[in-house]
Amino acid sequence: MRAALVTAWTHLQRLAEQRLPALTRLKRAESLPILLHRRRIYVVPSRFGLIYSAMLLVMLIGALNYANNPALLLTCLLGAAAFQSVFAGFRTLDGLQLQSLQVGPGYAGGELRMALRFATLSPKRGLRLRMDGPSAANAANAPLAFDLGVVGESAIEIVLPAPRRGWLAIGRLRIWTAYPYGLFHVWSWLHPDQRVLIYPRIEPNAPPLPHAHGNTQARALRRDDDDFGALREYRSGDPRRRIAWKASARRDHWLVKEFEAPRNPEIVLDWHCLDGLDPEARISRLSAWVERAEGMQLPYRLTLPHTRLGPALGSPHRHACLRELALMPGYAP
Amino acid sequence: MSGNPSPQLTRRQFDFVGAAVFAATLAHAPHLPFVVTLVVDAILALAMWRKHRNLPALAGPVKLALIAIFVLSLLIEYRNPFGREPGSALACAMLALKLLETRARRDALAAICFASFTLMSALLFDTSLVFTLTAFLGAILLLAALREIELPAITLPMQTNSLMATYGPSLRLGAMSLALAAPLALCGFLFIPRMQSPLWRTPDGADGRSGLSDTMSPGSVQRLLLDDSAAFRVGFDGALPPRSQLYWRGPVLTDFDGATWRRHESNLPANALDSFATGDTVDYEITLEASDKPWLFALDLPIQTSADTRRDRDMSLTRRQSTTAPLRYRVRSALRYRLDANLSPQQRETALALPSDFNPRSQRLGTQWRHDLHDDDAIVQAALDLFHASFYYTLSPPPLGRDSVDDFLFDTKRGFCEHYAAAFVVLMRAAGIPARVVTGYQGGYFNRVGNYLLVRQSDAHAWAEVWLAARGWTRVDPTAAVSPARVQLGAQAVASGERAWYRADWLLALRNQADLIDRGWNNLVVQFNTQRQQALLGPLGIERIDATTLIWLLIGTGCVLLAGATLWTMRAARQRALPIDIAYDALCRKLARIVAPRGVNEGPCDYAARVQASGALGAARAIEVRALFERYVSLRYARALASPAEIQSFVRSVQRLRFATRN
Repeated sequence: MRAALVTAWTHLQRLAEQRLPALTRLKRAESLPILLHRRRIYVVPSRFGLIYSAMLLVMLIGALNYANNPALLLTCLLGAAAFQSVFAGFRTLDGLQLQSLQVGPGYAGGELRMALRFATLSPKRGLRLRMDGPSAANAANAPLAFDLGVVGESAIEIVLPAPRRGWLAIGRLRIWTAYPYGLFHVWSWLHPDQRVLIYPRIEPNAPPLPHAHGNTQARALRRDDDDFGALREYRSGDPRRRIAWKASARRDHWLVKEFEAPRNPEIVLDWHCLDGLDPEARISRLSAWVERAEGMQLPYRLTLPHTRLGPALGSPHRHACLRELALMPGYAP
Repeated sequence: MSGNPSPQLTRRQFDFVGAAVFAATLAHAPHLPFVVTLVVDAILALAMWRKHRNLPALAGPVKLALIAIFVLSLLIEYRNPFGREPGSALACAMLALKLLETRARRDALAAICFASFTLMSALLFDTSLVFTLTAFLGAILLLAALREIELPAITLPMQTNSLMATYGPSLRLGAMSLALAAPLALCGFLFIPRMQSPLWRTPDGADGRSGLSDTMSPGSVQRLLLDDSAAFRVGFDGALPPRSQLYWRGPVLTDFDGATWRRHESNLPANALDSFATGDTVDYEITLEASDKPWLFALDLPIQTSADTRRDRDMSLTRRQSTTAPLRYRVRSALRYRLDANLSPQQRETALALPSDFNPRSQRLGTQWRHDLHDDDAIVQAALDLFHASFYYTLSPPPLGRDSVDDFLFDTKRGFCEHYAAAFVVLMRAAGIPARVVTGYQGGYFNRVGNYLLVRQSDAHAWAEVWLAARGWTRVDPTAAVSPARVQLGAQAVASGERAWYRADWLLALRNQADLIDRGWNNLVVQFNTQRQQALLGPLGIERIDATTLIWLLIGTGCVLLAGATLWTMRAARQRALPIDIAYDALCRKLARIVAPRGVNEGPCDYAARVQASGALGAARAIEVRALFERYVSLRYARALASPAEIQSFVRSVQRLRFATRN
């Protein structure tokens, strides 16, 4: 019964958004900054507002019945104060501006921390923020309550679920307030046209890196001239100080010193070496390996069906790798 | 909105709700029995304690048991559960119990909702200005509690030392809300049509308002003499009659059963107006406070009154219903009069009846006087002389036994008006002179500023009337024989040694003056009724407004007020910018005069580069300006939030920037 009602309600909402231009307009994403103003702030009485007005009506009838003017005056005052709270509620949202948003790294299946930076010209109290859409119904998506106590900019952090890898549109946020007395529900939509990249799920307890055994510490190359492994022919571009002058003197071409290669062979994270796994599991494992290699400061190469990256080490490389992994075409499970 | 569980209250939010609930129940304390107030407060204290100890809400059976106990004890206390008073006691108790189970936001909202009703109902018992203002303070607390519930719990300031910093903002907002609501509330107050007849009525007498009753037994007036509330106010058309003439006639008590004096049941309406008046008449208007009794008061002797009052044979005024709301009526009285020149045998018999088995000594004394003195006047004088010789006036007389008049006359010899009046009438009847007790008020305080006479409950008085062949019914005040000051100065002045500290002279004088404000309040607000409402537009030439027009007026003025508020709200928030943007605009305006205005789509970096490239500023200034632009960009668009101090410093730098105008 309840489920049927909820379905009917969502259906009705969808219909309303199709029919009412003001609502449909805000279904579309907008570019930042988003300023809330009177054309996009909506007000309805809250459930408590309706109950309270019923109580005020009872009080009114009581006062009138006993022809008691002071009681009537008190009822009128409370009623007028209640009614006028709608203006305070409107002013709470009016002039609020979403300046920018900043999203921390997120992995599929985990959560995403999003910092919203609001600018306001007057202190705002009792604001609530929640993701709109299908996830709004679940209990984990409890509304975030916050104040913007200072004039100027302040940042609010909201946690979003990150369902799967790839691009995620931020989607629509519902911002509302029942300030000051909880009698009116004043709300608007924030729908920034921003998307965030969600990295693939990191496989927990992934097996060790391929070919990564023994001494895993890359040794710094030493400048010691004697400690080189071999000589090879000069190629244009080799630095002059690498030229082995003594040995070259005995030949008719230049020889250059070739330093010892790292003891461990280069780490190759290869898509094709994981044949036994299904594609999503491969992506997960490769991502886990990328993170591990970064953690161990080992340069690595990533080989994917359509591209290869590296070998390299460091943040830009890591992000490039994870990005490629995140944007792998989807595979049906 | 959807099925989220209602959030739990923080302790601070709970404190606010508790304070609001406490205020609402406290407003009922003056008219509830002390025990009920005590129990309600104990429940509130328990609720507070449990919340502060983080104990869970009470279990259902315990709650039900508490409610049952309370309802039962109310039934035992009041018997009739349908009066206003038991109702208010029950409301207070339910409210307190609600607080005991309040943990979530939803419960708190329900409690506040019900507390509003409870607060309003307290005003049904007391409509004075002071009490109404107190109720408004309660309303501020209610609104403050609602605001606290609405604020996010996490961002509330920690409990600081300063009470005002902690609780101030919510209370201030509540007060401001009420102040801003005043115009709309006033428009509602003026234009909401009043009911011609109530939808329901509480049973008469269920409310225990103090006032003169229509019976008199020893001690019944005593309670009134300690009550300082106003009984009625009188505005005289002419000058104030002399104090000794200010006898406000109320119920006339003729029947005596040995213990209690009662009205004579078969009182016929007065005959067509005889010519009572033998002297000048006085015209005045009385504003009677709600008394829940049907009788009215008038100066001895009313000869003409406004329409819907009935004048009985004994010249007391009554209405068909009790006076449940303040009532205003006009009277013309004759200070010198002649009432009932001839007494019918039936009247005579009633006015002479004495129960034979009560007060034998008094009856013997009366008979003896009749035997010794042949003149009625002489008998009256004998009784007054008796009182004058050896009786004391006191508000705390010793208790009397079965033959109360005998005990009083021959043993205790101490008492106040009701004792003297009763004893005097018994003596007269025993001596064969028709006599009766008249109750009412005597005297009053004349407020010079407001030019009206205030008569308090404590001015209640009882005197006697004897029928003399030559003069008809004649007023005799035996109390005056004992204590002339009672009539000249009032009951308060006489009993000065017996008063509590809060009834001191200077305080009473102050309160007599302050009654002017009460009277204004009563005039303007309390007595605003259907007639006054219909005559609202009288100054505009509209004689009578009907209910439909009133509703249109209500809607019209309400819409105008709300439209004004809406416009103001929408205007006030427009066309303002952040301080940093204002400063940036100022910077661009300054440069526009020297170099060139910034293009509409030109960003700060591009514009700064253009300004520098133009060379209009000179190298050093150009670098300075460039730096300012870079600061703006970093403050405005950098990832980290700019602190208010940094923004302030930028604003000041822009303000300090001066360019020599180009010649």
